[in-house]
Amino acid sequence: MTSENKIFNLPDKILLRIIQLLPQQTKVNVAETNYKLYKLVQKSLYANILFTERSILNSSKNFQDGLWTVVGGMKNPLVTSKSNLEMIKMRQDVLLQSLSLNKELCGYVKRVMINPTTVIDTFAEGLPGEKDNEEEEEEFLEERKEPPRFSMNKNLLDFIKRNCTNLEQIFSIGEKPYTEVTLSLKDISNLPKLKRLDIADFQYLTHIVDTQITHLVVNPMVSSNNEISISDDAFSKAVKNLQLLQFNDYRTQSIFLNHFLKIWNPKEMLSLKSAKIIYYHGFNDNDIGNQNLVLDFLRVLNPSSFKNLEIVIGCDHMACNCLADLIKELSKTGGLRLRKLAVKQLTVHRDHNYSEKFDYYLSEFLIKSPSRLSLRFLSISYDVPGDFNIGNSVKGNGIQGNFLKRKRLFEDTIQKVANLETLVMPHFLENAACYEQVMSDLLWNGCKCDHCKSYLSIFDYYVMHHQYYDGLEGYMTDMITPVLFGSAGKTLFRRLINDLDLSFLEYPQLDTYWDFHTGNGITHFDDDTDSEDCQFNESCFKPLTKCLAHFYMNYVNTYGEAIPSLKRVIMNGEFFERKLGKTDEWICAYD
Amino acid sequence: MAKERQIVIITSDGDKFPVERKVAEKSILIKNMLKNLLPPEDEQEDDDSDVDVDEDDEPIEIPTQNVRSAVMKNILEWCEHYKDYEFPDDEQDDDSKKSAPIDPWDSNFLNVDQEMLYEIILAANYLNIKPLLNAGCKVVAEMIRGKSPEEIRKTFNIVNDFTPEEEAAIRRENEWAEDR
Repeated sequence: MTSENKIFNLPDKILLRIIQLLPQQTKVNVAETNYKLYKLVQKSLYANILFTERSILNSSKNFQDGLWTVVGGMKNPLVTSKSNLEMIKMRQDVLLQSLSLNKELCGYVKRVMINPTTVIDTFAEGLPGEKDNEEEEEEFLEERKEPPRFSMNKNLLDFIKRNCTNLEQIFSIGEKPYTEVTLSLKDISNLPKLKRLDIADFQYLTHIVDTQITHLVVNPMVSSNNEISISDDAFSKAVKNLQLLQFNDYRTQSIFLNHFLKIWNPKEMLSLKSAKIIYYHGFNDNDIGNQNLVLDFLRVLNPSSFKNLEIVIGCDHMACNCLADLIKELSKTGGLRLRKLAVKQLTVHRDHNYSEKFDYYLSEFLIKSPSRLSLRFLSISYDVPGDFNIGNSVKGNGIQGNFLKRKRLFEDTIQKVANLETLVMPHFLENAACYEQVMSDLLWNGCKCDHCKSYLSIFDYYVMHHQYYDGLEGYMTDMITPVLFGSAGKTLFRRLINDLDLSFLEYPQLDTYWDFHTGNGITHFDDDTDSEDCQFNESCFKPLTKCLAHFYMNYVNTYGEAIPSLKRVIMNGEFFERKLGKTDEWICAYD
Repeated sequence: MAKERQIVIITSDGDKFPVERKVAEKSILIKNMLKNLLPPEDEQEDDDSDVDVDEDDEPIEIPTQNVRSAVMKNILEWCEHYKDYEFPDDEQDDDSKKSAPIDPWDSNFLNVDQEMLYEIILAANYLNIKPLLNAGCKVVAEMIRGKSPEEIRKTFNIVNDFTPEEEAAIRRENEWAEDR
């Protein structure tokens, strides 16, 4: 062989492995170089397809952006929603055309996910009467009447369901999942390799019997008929085949578990690998019974196979000790040895004391559990009020001392999880934003690098020239740092694809922007000329995220020192990777 | 306590490399071979059975027909560096491992010419050393990342075997995935 084409000495399996690591634009470029590489690229480019309205967030510091191919919007944050949606429509049309013309491509499609944005409230910026001409004004009013929303090309979806017979997953995530993706019985019978099924009706349980399905997602039911009519034998056989059982709704979980535990022989162990469950004590008396179902369910899990747990926990009664029962069950000797754990706080309260209670039990679990040394992945997600207001000064307990108390407990606890490799805190900033002094300290006494010195003063100007609606007091008031940074944290969190917290690393990150005027009724002062001159928009968001990355870095360094095995920390949507070299340092993937 | 038997790896060009067992066992291929030839390492230490001393002293020779000496030298340097590190063997973590950045030591270690890099990758594949294979693939991916089709062809001496019409058709086919 000549010196050219040495790369072709590598077998196709390895070339494909290399291609899978590339970001999608580079994959497209590789396909255009040579026929052999074109054939290999198509296998990877069409394997995992994510439909969304955002664009992918690229990084040259890791390989996260090569995991899925994103059919999304434009990279320019200032593009209008209308143009963005037109681009998405065009991409979907072209994809349908490509799949229709070259049927071979259909065989490569394995996983399809739809991730529509939950709320679109920035579609038509400004107020009526502000537009320059009649035509623009008309268009503007039209948009306000009927906001343009993300939608899927139904023909494309149907085409995929009918022709992509190697499909393993097709589902939608988010608070308002895209229901058209739901598979019918006919679709399921056409897809012999289907591994995941998302159900919103118990009638669909019949579909998991005698199939390859190993991942069942139980969503809130859309049907009023909540009875599980499948035969007991078929039901237990179907559940026995599962590897991952995911409950996204508390009520539905109770119906499912109640039925399952009635028919399951308690002496038999269930060989699940992963589960998402909800353990919550709210104001309903039935909650105690439902919590017991969860405990009984945990008891039938086979510790040798069960390795990954996502658990939503909360107790809204300050004097109640029900979380201790859960900790006891999870910590018992000879019990579960988890490899991945995601814990999500659930509460209706906007009170520091409830968060401290959550922290206390989480700490108890992490210190006492046998999983302490087996855990490699840990995600901790806080339930934070949307206005980041837990009451400040004399009116509440969002004071710095309380934050420091929680911080100390966390730092003392986390070092006990001695073999941890990945730590994820998807709502770290919103949680910190509930403590105003911490946020004001970040703005006024934050990082002293050139970037932060220049930009933090600009964001200080923003705070001085905006107001927001204080929901607790019921009036518009001066902008405060918790609303600024809390809103930024909320936006950054949306970079993560939120199917399961356990699987944050299985997806690429999506680019997100905040326009500095959305959420909590943020506006300019009435008597201010700022509304006309305000320059704050999506283009200011990236500089803000860099300031935040510098803020996170102190915490990341602390966690890194406490846990030498830690390789990755994710705070909201910022990825930090440890570079082990002569000097042990952390780098931010998107900085 | 029984003396540990010496392991000698023989390359395709006949060179012999004596190695410690835990270095050799970074290769799953060799580890599985040794499993059949020797008791597990922890048992070996306590082994006080009456094994024939002469036979015990014989080194175990492992031929590796697909790996030449210069490449094996590099492979063993990598294995030596990681001999005390336990790579987790968990399929579920595949995506997170796939997306993690290259370890700076690996990156520096694999800073070799293209020919040697491909040979290391091939040897890692043959010897079943997954972490080294992953690192090698990541190094090649970094060489490709962000490059235009022409730059990729130039970097890897790839011959463009498309007609202009075919090239245009491919561009149209994948247009939906283009970054804009």
